[in-house]
Amino acid sequence: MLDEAIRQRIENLRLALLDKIKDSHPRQKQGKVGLDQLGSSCEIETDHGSFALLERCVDKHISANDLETAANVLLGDNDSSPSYIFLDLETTGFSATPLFLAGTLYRKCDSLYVGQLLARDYSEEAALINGLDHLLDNFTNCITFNGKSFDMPYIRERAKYHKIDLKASPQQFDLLHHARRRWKNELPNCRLVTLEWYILGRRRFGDVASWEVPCIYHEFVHTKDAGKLVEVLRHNLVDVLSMAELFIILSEGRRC
Amino acid sequence: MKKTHSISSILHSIKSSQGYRGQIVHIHTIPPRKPVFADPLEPISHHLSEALSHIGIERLYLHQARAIDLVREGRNITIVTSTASGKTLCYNVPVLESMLKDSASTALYIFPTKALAQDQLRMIGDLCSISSDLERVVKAGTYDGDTPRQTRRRLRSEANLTLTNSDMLHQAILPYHSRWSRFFTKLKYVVIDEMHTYRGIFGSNVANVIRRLKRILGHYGSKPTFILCSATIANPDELAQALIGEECELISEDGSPHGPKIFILWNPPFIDSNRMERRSSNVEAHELMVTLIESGIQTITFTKARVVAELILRYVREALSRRNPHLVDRVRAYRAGYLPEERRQIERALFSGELLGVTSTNALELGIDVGSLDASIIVGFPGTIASTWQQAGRAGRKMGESLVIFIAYNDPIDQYLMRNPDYLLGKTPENAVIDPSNPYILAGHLSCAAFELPLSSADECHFGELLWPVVSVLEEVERVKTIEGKTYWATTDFPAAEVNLRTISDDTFTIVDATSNEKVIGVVDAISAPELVYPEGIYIHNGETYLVRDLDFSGKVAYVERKEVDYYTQPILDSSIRIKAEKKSGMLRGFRKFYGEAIVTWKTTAFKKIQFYRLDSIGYGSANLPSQHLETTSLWLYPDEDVVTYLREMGKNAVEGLVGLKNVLINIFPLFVMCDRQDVGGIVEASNTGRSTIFLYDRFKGGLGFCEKAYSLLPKLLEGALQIIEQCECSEGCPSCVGLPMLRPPQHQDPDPGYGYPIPNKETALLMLRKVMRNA
Repeated sequence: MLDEAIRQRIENLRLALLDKIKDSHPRQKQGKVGLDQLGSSCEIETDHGSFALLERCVDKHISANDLETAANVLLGDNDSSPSYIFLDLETTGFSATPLFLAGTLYRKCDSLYVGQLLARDYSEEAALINGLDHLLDNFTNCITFNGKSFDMPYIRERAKYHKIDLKASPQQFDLLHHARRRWKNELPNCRLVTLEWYILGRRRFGDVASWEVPCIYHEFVHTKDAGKLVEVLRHNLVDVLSMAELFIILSEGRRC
Repeated sequence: MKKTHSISSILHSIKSSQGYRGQIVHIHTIPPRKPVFADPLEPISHHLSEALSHIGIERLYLHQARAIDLVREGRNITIVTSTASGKTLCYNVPVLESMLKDSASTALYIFPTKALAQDQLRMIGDLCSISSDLERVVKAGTYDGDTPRQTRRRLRSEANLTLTNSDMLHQAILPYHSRWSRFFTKLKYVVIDEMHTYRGIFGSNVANVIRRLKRILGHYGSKPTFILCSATIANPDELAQALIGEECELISEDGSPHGPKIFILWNPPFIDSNRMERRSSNVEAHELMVTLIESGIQTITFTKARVVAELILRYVREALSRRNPHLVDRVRAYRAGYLPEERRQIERALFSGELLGVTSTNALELGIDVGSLDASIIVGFPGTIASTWQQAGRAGRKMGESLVIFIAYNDPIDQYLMRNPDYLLGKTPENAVIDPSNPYILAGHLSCAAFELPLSSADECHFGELLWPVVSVLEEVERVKTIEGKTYWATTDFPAAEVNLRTISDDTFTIVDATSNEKVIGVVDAISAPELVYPEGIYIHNGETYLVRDLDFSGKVAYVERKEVDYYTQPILDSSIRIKAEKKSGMLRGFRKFYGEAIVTWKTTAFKKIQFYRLDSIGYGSANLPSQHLETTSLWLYPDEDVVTYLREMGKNAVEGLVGLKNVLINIFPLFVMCDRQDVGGIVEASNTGRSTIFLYDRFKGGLGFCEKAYSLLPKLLEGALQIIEQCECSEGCPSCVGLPMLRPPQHQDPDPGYGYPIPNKETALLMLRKVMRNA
């Protein structure tokens, strides 16, 4: 048992810390959205626990055939059709903090799907990494935007953190490098939103800013209110779709 | 230059010279000690022993052999032997040996400063360059703020010996531990050198960094042996165990030899018939230093403030230029604020013997290897007995004689030491106290720990019984989130950035020579800047005077220009305390006691111009600088009116009693509150409450709970204070009871010569406490 003096000091510590945060963020309690309301999701079991997979067909946004052709141009080695997966991570910081969402796009039974692997709280990160590793292992190519310096090292670092041995080692195709080579002199920069605006001719409205993403996730873990998390999922979905479209455009340039 | 005279013959000639006026008040002789050699149970591997004999080490001393034996058995050890007794060998031998056996095994060396780590790396490099096997196997590097990014990456993937400092471990290594998984998985040894520096707030923080390190190591499945080294303190065993949370074998039998050492107490003579004023201690110091240097005696002079180190350097050079101009360039100053390359150059020149003299602040007190010198002059009591011995330890050859001269200032504490040599020479050094379980400190480190790896019940063995109570507070404020028994960091903040291990700020100002292409000549920490480089003041660098043109707070630059003047300047500081919020109050017998928040404010309001070689000012200048603030927690108390009346009737002044009591309270704070004396400040003033009041405050932004705890323990503290005064054998008051060294931190520029506070009347404090506590 702690003695009275120590309990008193802890109480003072509590008051001091509460004092610090008291005006920082009022939290809305009403209109809580449960994760189950986000559409079809299933629970995936791994050796490291479970995580959630949200999968949806995106055929109406991207043509599977166009993508297949593009993949043959950019990844093919003439012998066989290459297998490929798009990947984009959402994390809670730049390094050493958990990743919680891996957006992927792949072909399954002649249709295109976006699969979003979500850690519903911090404890599911290891399972997510494990599941992602299994998924990536099915493909020979992994297409990312800045994945060579961000997404892939991030996964490797977090895998080390959880002492998970990664087995997948797909070929890396980094869209950022290709986009820079192609448009560096024509565009102000080669950020994904810039490319969307100039190359894909569209603009995002109401999208969450990247710096908000970690806060929204922490908030979700605290409250289990998925209201704002929906926006992060949408943001990630748009990222992956834009990557696929850019991939197609890059291949067209290559063909001419 | 060869020594032309022996130390005893120089002393003889000093005493028989015309100018000698009986300054030597005490001579203490420390007899020589013969070396005690020993062999480890198993001989050292031949690659290593060859390399050692190449640098002149044929046999090991007793403590080295014993350390090697114990470390080879996998036991944690603490080595407490004298300066220059070869402590580093105690860890380098087993570490390098294990690398020769298995080059994948790794070791982590932790030092309190960057400079020490860099110094050690050079020594290891020198040793390894002798043996091709060592050179092939050992991949060592310093990992600190100066390490370039590319090198950092290479060290993380390749190094087996990483030398770093506690702050770097805290902010840049532990939070990113997965990048160190290879290194941590194979970690066999952790070396913590200069352990005695980890005391008070700094020590309590570092103990928690070590707890965090240990749990990360547990995650990677390694359990290293700890090797700690310390200068002499009263409780090395206790401190080592508190720091690493494990049992530790103490090695204190020193096998290294030393020649005879003469320790002299030197009191500057009176210069007036009233016997009030004494000659300047700085002038005395420079004369002694010149005499020693001219006799080829390599001498270090320790001063309490940066400006004094520069002042004495200047005096010494001027004297040498008249008498021995070829020696002028063989004396330098060494202190915080010099640029790293300048420091390295001075260290090398001292080591090689190219320099015959150096004037230094306590910057050279720590174990940077500059070799052993012949003589050490200590100007003014450094504040602790431990520090005095550290500075004295810089002088001492293996064979020849060495000399230590402690020169007193004309202030009450130094004069007390002159009258009572046993106080300094016979007393054990101070205890080093830490409290890793201070809830405030723990809250910061548990945040860092949760960021690094989720906390679980397995962490109780590291953080103790306060783990869950503090975690539940962190959870309530939504810093962390517990999911299925594991507590995760749950915000976007980076907690290590919010925890500063030290009390001093790591913010620095650069000092720029505005006339010389804006060349950076030095740096100064933000707290000291307004006391060192205030406009129109004189900044002294390498003995040369610069006029300060401007102090730019937003750009953090001081602009100075070279100007030859015949004076230096000293800041006049004004400090005050204001109560911000009273949180608790109560009665304690005849005292009223309060606890709450307070703001301590200080600023440089003016400065004095003082002609070189003199003590009195030749003019004043005003300084218009912003104040500095410390918002903290405070405890204040004052006696009831009848106590004050009683003292007046007894012919005593209550204020003097309160000052005395304040001093005793700060002296005994460490015993009750588990902090260092340096961690609390105190003022007696009347402007807040309308009556003379003792204010004690935590010297840390936001407070760390020291005064809060003292408030609840006040009856015990006052009883303790009464006992201390009653039992103290002094007659008029001494530094152990109602008197106290000035406890301003060393980075401040004390306006030191002769301005110390008087020791308040002991009887007054005693009467007051007896009246209050015993109603007698």
